Amino acid sequence: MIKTNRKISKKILFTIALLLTIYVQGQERVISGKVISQDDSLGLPGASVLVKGTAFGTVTDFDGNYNIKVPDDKAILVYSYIGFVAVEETVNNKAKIDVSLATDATSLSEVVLVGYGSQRKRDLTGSVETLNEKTVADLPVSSVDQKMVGQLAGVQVLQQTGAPGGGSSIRIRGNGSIGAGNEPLYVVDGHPYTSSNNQTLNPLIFINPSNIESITVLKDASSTAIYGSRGANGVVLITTKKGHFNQNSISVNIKTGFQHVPEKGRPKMLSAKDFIYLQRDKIDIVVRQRENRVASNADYPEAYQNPENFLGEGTNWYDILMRDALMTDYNLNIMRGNESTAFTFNLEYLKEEGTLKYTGLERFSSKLGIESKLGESVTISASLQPTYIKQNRTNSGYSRNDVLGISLWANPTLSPYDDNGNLVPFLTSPANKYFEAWDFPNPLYVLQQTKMEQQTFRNLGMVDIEWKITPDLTFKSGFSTNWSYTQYLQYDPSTVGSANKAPLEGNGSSNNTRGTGFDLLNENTITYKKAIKDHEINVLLGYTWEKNRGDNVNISAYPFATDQIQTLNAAQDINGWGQSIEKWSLLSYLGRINYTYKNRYLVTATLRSDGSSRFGEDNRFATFPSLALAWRAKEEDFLSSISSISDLKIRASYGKSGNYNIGNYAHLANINAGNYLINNSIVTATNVGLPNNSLTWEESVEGDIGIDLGLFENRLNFTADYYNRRTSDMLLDKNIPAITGFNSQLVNTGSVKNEGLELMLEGTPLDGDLKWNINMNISFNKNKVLALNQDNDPIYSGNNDGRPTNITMVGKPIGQFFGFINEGIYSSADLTDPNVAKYPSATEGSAKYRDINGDGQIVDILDYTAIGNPYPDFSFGLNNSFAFKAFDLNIIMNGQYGGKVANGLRQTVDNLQGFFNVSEEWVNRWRSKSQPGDGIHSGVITNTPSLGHRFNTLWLEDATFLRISNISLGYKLPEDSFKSSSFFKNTRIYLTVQNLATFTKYSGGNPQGQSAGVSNVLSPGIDITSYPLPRTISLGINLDF
Amino acid sequence: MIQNEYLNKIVRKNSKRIIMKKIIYFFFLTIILSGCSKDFLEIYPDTVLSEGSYYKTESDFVELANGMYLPMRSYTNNDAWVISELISDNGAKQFNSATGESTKGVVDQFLTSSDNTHYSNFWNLAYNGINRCNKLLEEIDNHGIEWSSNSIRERSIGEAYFLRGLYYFDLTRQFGAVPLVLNTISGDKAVDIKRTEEGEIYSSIINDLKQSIDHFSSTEDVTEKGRASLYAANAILGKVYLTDHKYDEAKPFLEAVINSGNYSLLPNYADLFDPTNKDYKETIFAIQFSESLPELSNQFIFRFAPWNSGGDITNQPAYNLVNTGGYNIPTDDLLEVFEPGDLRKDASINYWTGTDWDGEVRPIPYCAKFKPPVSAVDNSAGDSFPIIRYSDVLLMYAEILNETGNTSAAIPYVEQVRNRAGLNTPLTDYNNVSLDSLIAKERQKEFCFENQRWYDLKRTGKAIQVMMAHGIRMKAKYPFLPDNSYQINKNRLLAPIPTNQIVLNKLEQNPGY
Repeated sequence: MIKTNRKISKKILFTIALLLTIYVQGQERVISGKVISQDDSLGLPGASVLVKGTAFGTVTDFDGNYNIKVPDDKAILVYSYIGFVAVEETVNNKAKIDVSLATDATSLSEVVLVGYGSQRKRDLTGSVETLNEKTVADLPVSSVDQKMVGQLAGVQVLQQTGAPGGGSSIRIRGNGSIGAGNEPLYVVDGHPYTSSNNQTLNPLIFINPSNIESITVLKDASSTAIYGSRGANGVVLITTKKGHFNQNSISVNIKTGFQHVPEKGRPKMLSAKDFIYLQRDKIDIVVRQRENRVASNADYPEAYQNPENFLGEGTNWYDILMRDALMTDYNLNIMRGNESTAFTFNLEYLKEEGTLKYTGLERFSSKLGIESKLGESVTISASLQPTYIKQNRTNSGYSRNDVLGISLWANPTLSPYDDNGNLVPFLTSPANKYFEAWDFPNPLYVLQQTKMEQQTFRNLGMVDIEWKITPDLTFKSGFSTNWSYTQYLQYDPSTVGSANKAPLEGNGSSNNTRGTGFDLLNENTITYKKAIKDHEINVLLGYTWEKNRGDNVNISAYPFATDQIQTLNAAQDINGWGQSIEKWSLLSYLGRINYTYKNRYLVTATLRSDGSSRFGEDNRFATFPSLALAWRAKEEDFLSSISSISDLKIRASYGKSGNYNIGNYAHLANINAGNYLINNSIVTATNVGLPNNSLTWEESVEGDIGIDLGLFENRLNFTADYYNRRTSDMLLDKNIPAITGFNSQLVNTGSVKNEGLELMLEGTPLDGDLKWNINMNISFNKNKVLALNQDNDPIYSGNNDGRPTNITMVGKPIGQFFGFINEGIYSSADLTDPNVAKYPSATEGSAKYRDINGDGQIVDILDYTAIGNPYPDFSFGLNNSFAFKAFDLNIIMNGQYGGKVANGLRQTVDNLQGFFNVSEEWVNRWRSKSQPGDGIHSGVITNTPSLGHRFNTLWLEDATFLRISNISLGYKLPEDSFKSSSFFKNTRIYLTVQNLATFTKYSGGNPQGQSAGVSNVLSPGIDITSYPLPRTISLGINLDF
Repeated sequence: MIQNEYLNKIVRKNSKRIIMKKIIYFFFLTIILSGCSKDFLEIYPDTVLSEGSYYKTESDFVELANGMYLPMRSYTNNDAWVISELISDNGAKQFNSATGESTKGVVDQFLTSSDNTHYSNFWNLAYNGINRCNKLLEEIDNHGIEWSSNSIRERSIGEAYFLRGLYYFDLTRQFGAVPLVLNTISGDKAVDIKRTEEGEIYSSIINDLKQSIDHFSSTEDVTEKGRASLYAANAILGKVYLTDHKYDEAKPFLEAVINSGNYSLLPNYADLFDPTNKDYKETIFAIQFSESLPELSNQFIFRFAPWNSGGDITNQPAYNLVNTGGYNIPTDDLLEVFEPGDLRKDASINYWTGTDWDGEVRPIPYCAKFKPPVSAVDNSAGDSFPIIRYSDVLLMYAEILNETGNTSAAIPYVEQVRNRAGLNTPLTDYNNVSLDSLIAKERQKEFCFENQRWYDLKRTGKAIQVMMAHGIRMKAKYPFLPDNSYQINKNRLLAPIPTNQIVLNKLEQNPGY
């Protein structure tokens, strides 16, 4: 880990070293020499050489050479460099002194990235965490967010879908916003990376995770305020690998494995036999109602007359969609560097099959980078990172009509194949005049035939120039572009039907989208660093601007005469079209001062002023200040003698950041144009929208108090942070009375508090032949709505048959579950008892609910109440790594305790009207007085409208889980196995298992699953037919040449 | 040595100064490159206009006036028929064992709750329309527009008053007392506005329609087919007074229409419903639909055709009727009201033979007034939907004459309507009461599926009696209907105020919901 960070530090932190240096001011004689690293014997540029006891000193040049004037022979020279142990040499009569510095084992000298710069870890005043990338290097994942799972305190990576290339959701210190998004800002190689997150395509998929050098997360406001109106949800700094001067390496990394959906979590539905009994129950009731008699066997469809003949479970529609899927990733990395130019070349190919048949992802990515010194003081660098992605998708996580949804409710007595072994396109349930279950398209056939293909090409291009005007003063300017082209084609052939709708010849339809996106960013900063005696000061001033434009054209066509030709020209009609152009711009001024006194009192003050096109003229600019203080108590005399305490730092910060993620033109009253017919010809018909000139960003004010403690020469490190973040002026699409002519308006209103505690413990219990490193983190976050609109009316969200599933109300966390409290089923005694509250369609065996408002009856919605909290009490991660000789073993676990998840299976298909298959547990349903079931599961629903299938406590389950998210075992081949050839430098093979096991009481597959169809902020914890998370077993090899 | 150092310092200082200058210059250069900050941050949408650059020309206001019709088009297509025709004894749901019914069937069976989407859509759209009218009235004289003809300005104002009156008329006939909003308002202000007494709403409607008549009076030269007009305002005002049982007040406005000479009955009733040759002779005001664009089209036939009829009726086999069709199926009550020889029956009702709810195959009736698309390949149908027709004016006028004791004078107007329907027998031996009931029957036949029946039942005070009898027949025919269906009492004559408006707008609910 230290080594990895040191690599970064060499170049990036060159400037920081300078602050320890003072010009040579007097001399008797000149000493020269070279400072090199013990590790690789390469020169260390920017190392400090100081005459001890004086302020005289110099720094080494780019090759590590130095010249220094010393007063006399007794002078002692101190050689230091960040990340290395300092060395002292007495001059005596030497004229040339070469020094070799050894790596400093303590993590305190590590340099970490911060916004627009970097700092020594020990000088940090804010809450900043860096992911030890090395421990997650082997993970067989396609995007970097998946590597962050469980690794960082206060950073929750919600794995909501297992779809290849699908999005995940990252929450830093909880949900601070209701209407403006909660995803952090990503900054790639110093440039903010504009992206939008959605469940179908993860923006981070465009960055090859094997090519990532480090990931740093800025959590508190003092660290994020430098990103102003974009910092409120935290900032993730991603650095990609690049070559260094005077270094050459070639490495190849190949990973291959397969993914499998674990048995645990696959939905269990009624077997064919039990499904027949469900159908017969329904028919019994229909016959009794219509003909007032008891049904006989002849009243059932013929196929259902002998249920005992059905042995086994029938067709498991879910299982037939699943496969063991291959995943292969090839990586080639070439780095070449001489003393003035360094060159980086990376090439990757990833092919990931989805565990759902016919889905998958392919990625070609590359990075081409060059860095060159122009003379002594100017360095320019440029890079291109083109990526091409092809994704074969299917709809999942929406409803009972996506393939996973159909696979749950599909009739299990029917077979997907005909007698010749061909797939049957559409299946009709046995029916008669009394009843029929829904007919459905064969979900496997749908997957096979429907095309949902997205291709995206994206290139990140960057040019940076760095000019060291004086050793203290650096000017930096950079341009970056992010250009993307997206092409989406969906073709639904005429042979594919949908629920209750058989396919029809000549009825194919297509949906085409083409889009381009372009982002141009310019950032200019000046950094001034100076150290005078006990004072160190570091000033940053900057000016940046950014422009973004997206242009999408959409065309849908229908019908197609033949499925053979799927291009637009073959369609008979274009039935939908549109174009959207989205533009925004941002203009900012920023500044930061770091001041250190006596190495122990640290102050950081930042200020950023942002102007955004997204807000009304009256509120276009806002300023985001922050202040942080830290005290390195270890440096004080009273602690310096206690050797067991190697570091103690107390930090406090307070600051403001913002969130500007709303639509681009939301403050304007748009003229919405439609059409009407006058004089039998089409005329334009317009309407004026609601303006909001005062619309502005959300503000987040956060205080953070932290302590960093290092014990036993930092073999044990402990960090604790308490934070309190209050978001106000929340951007909220507020429902307003319809008598205004509108139903909702985007306004700044309400506030939310997130309060929490993060604990992190890192230790090296064993450091001999057997090395053991342990890293634990645990975070508690409490989310509380402080205010909504002026009347504090709750916000309802989610949708179950037109009714809300979640409620956001003052004093409670965002998006609590909202529904009936289930109290079992009505007995016949209940039905006649006037004291038992009922709803009109209630019969014996119907679901029984609690009368919340006490009016003696059960009424839809009126007797709904908040029935559960979707957020865990705490979440945690545990990472153990071991090294023994050539072996290394890494085990990552993560989990959460508390919180509820809504099992979407119950919401989508456990509707006892008999149209659908339902989950296995309904075997125990109420059937008759003599077969009352388990008293929990109600009987078949007969009357409509019925309240039987409403969001209720029975659908909620405990979301506590512990997941062994990764185990990797590596073996480094002995070096002498290749001694005869100088070709191989290093060879390592490794085996990893991703998502080995999840321990949870939740009956679904993924306690963090989230429906793609609803907002994951206002309606969290709704797990509807989400794409299952696979277990991945893979084998990899690293070759260094 | 010291000197040297001193010089060095000066040189260094100067060079630093130069460097600083360069930097500042560079900074300003990038600022200039990125443009002035005001322009840089001022971005307007490319795909739509915004208010700041609107209200510049006459055509901007004509477009705004066109926009006032859109909410009415939307609720006419989706909601109005559910809550004013399906709910009545004319229309019913065709039962379907494979789908539940939570929004339309419950209205038909008087089981609806206050969260029904048809009532909330109707409410939202009506107020959206009212806001459009208010906006036009507020802005039209604020921008110094040069009008090519003052008639166009007058016409636009007339349309705004007409439509605002009509939106309120629709609202109050459904919900009774409703909030009265005659200016554009913000969300914060709206919360304080409560329901206004029905009587005051009627005064406002009457005032709006009178204003409308005033403004339309001089606009004959700019009258366009499909737009509201002078006589549409007169006819609707007549209907408003009639609904309020103010017969004497109604009379002059209906007479104005009759005496205008602009309108007459079409010789052939079926010609009223030909989407390819729209009628503007008998139809005084209609919501305009066209199959040329999905937005302009209606989907009536796709709601009214039996759900299991596939493409037999709609000519669009690809369009799935299973979950959306089979509503407004003509009831036995309606079928029986037609006398033999009434040409309106075949023009209004057709049969499709197929499997009924009980598995038996039989001819199933369906509404034939609205036709499937002719050239559109999707579910875009183009029939206009009449709001008021000349035959309505005649029957209203007859009703007024009869109610005011002039039965014999009323009879010719009823005969005029009946003769056109092929019922040529002169009406003899009619007294006040029997003519009253004949007019009611005529209206039921003449305007079936034109969203008049429920309002007529309510206006004539017959709603409870007629609907209870209808409910008994329905339950006898469909034994599985729940016991609590068709329990009609006085409370059920008013629609439920949508739940979300009770919450958001703090409105009082009508009793019984």
